[in-house]
Amino acid sequence: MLGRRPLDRMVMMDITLETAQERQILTLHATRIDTAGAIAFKDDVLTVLDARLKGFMLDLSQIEFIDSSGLGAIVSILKSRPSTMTMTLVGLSSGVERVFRLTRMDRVFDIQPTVKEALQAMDHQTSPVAT
Amino acid sequence: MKWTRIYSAQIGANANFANGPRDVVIRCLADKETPPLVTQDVELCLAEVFNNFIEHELEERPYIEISIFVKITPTARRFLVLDTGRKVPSGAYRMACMPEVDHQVPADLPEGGFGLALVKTLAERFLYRREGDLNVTFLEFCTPQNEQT
Repeated sequence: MLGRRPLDRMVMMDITLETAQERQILTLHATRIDTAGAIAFKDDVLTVLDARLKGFMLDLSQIEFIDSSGLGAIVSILKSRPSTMTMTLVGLSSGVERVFRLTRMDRVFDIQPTVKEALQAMDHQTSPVAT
Repeated sequence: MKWTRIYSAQIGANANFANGPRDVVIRCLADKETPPLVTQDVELCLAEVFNNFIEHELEERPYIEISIFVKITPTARRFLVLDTGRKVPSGAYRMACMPEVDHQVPADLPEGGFGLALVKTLAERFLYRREGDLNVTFLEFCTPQNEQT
């Protein structure tokens, strides 16, 4: 289970932070989220979240491989995030998307193809209804 | 056709211990022109088998010994993983199934339990048995010929 192994802190993940439409965009600069880095990844993401904003996106477009530890870390982020923040996953590669589909986590998470499309979807959700 | 040993080593409590065997296996599959999707499945399943070592062994032991054998045919990629770790609890593999996630509020979502269920889903055949002091894990993946590129 996650949270028991201090060894995982040895692997740091490079994360770039941007803000758009009152959402944080966290871009992961790594090709894997696996046992070696899952806890560090989760801790780093939760540390940088800004609860004053409406939500955040995890841009996983550079991630080529994820295992159950990585998946568990993303679930843990969903459960541990500030309750006021929405969470969106963007840029899932075919391999990563397959893991989400096989575990049925694609039904749990808001998943968008790209950051641009995620922002557009948010635009539509927040636009006032024309009368 | 005989099994070919492609990896044998003592692995210790190192977060990156799986990199060595993973690279060897992927190189072996590439040499045999394995379809990318099959390689992806093998990589994920072996990662989950290795994860079990970390979860259940390397916190308590300085190292375990692991060997990986492979048998390649035109239509299948078969792997035997032998390790000196503790015996896997009876029924653990047989009962592994994908956790229920539908209709759950986020607070109740499982953060673990997906690994072995993924292995059972992705591998054509997955067998485990205890032989003396060894865990013997067998994995088979089909390689449809028309998908080989």
